Amino acid sequence: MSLQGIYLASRALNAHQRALETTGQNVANANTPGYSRQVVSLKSVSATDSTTLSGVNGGVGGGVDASIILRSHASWLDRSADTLRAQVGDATVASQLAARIEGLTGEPSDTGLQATLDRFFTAFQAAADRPNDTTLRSAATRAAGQVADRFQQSFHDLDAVKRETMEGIRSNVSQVNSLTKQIAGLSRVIGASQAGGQPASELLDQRDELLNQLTQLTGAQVAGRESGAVVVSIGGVTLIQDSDAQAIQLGTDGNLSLADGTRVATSAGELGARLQALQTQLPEHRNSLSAIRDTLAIQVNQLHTGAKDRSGTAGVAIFVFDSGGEMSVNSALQGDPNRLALGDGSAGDGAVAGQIAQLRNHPGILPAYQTLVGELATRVAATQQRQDMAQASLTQVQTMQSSESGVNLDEELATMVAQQHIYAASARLLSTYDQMLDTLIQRTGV
Amino acid sequence: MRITTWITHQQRLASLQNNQTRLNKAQGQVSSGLKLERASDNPAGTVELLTIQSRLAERQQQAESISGALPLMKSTESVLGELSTALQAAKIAGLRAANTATGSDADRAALAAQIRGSAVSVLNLANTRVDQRFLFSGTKSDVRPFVAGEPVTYAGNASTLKLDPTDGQPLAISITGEQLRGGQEGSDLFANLKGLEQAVLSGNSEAIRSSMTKVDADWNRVVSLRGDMGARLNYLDMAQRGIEKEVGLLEVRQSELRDVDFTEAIVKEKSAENSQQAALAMAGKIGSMSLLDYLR
Repeated sequence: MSLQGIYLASRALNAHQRALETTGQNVANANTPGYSRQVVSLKSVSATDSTTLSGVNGGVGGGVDASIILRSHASWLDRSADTLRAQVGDATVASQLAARIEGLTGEPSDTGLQATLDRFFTAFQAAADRPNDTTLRSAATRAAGQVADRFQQSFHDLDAVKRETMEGIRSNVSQVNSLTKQIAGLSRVIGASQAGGQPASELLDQRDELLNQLTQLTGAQVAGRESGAVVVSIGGVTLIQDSDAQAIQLGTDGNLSLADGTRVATSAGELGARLQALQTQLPEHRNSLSAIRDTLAIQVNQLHTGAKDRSGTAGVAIFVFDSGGEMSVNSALQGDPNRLALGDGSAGDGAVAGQIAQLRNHPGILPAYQTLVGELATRVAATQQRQDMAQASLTQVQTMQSSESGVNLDEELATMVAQQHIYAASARLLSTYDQMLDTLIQRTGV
Repeated sequence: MRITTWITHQQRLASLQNNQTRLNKAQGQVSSGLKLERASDNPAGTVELLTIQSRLAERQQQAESISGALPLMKSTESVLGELSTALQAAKIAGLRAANTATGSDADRAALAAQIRGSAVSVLNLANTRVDQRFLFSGTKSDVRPFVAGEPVTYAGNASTLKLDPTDGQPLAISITGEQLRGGQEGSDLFANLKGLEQAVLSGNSEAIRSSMTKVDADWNRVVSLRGDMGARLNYLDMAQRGIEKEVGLLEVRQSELRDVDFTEAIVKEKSAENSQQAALAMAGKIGSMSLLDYLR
């Protein structure tokens, strides 16, 4: 009788204790972002591997060994997930920003620019019918003031969105720099750990989670996720090589670059969407709006300066601009409604006011604004749809990834029950051997 | 496929989110009564709505302008009617004077007084003021057009008040003093009446006849101006009815684009509510299901 049975039972107890611990780890991390389920690789131990006292065991094996703990991870899905995450980041921020600008226009409503312009033209038409009525003249001047205010409000709102976007970019840049630093640090530890033969599953999971955040932010390209030597690049510029990370910075021109001046261009991810809004969409919207404002001011002023006020003096410009480009109503018109020039100066001639009211059909004013609102609305709808689609695809890939690497609590519990039973059985095995040895020692040679 | 706890949680969460979004949207539509709350809800519809609203504002103002012009034009028409009556009276007096050229001085003086009376009425009528506007002083509508004297002078101007009932085609809505007096044909209503009065006084039948011809021409002109004003009133009346019809159609379309069909919205809201309830019930059921419950 050898002691091999005792060793066998002890190995089984050990192995299943480790398996149970792994189950515990899986259950504990069921909700941890980026956690990959760990699987214990059980291996039967052959007779020659096991330690025997006599060297002869009749071909009976040496039990079980819980050797490697594998990280169950669907690495073939990583690249697709990276691309989709970048798209989701891009579309989410793009649709938020577009909806923000859309909200500023406030259309369709009674307070939008269109309603304000309508009221302005209507007020001038009313004044054209009764040019001698000072109440109607004052109303027309006030309506002009509201138009100027509404335009300025729109520009101030756009400035606010621009500032928000700049803030967003700055915060994204510091997030990116913090992430690249952490990723590089983890890569060093993972490299060392793997070189020493340790699997480093938890560290890989942690780094994956950071890499996911980075791709969602920037649309970065990632290679070598399974090893310490991960390479991360944005727009062809390498940010992380092995364990070295390079910081990016935001220039005054609104472009990103490395410390050595290499330009980093990205149009993907949250950062890419913000950069695009800052460089393209916001300036374009602003230009369209100021083109409408300038057309209105030029046309109205031209007509008004060609007419005469009630005292027979030529009209002044209604809309004036200060040195900062802010539009307002000429202060000369504010106090005296009779300064408004509506026709040839006589009490009944409002022909020019009628022409100003007819500017409502000028293609560069209301129709141009309607086109602008339409284009904006189309963009909002399109980006929202893009976001929904990217999100749906990403969810699908994440589901597939989770299917491979996620934790199923019921499964873990079932495994746990199995392990518990095997552990109990192994313990029984041990006590049986103990009894057998006891029989041998106590009952013989007495 | 292997289903993990994350997948079930995620799907439960996603469907709850989905239902919540739909319910929120449906509730918003029911409570605001608008189905076009943001431009992106329907970009093409928004552009159409904005175009319609702008057109509505324009057309409503045009209807307003016409309504404002109608009293003025109706007054002008009725004053022209009274003017023709006054001229008619002068003409009858003139005719009687012509037929009784041999009558006594007293008879002629009485007829001349009648004509003078008519001339005073004509001057007063020509200076009629409605709603603080003189009807016959052109665009100088704050100035009394005719100043009594020998001759009567015109203080107004030759431009008519105008109205733009349709896009870009202004229509004259007043008659200037020059038109009324006959200045364009080199005539002068007031001088002609004065001439008739003097001819009647003198008893010169040749002079009475020639003055009568001139007053007759004035009467004809006033009658035709009145007819002209009546025609323009009809035209504006039609234009206004056309505008009202268009406004009605535009308002219907505006409502179609913007306003919620309550029956449909409430049905949608109820259905969203039901699916949310089902999703919640399901979530509760799945959430409470675990192997743990069966392990001792």
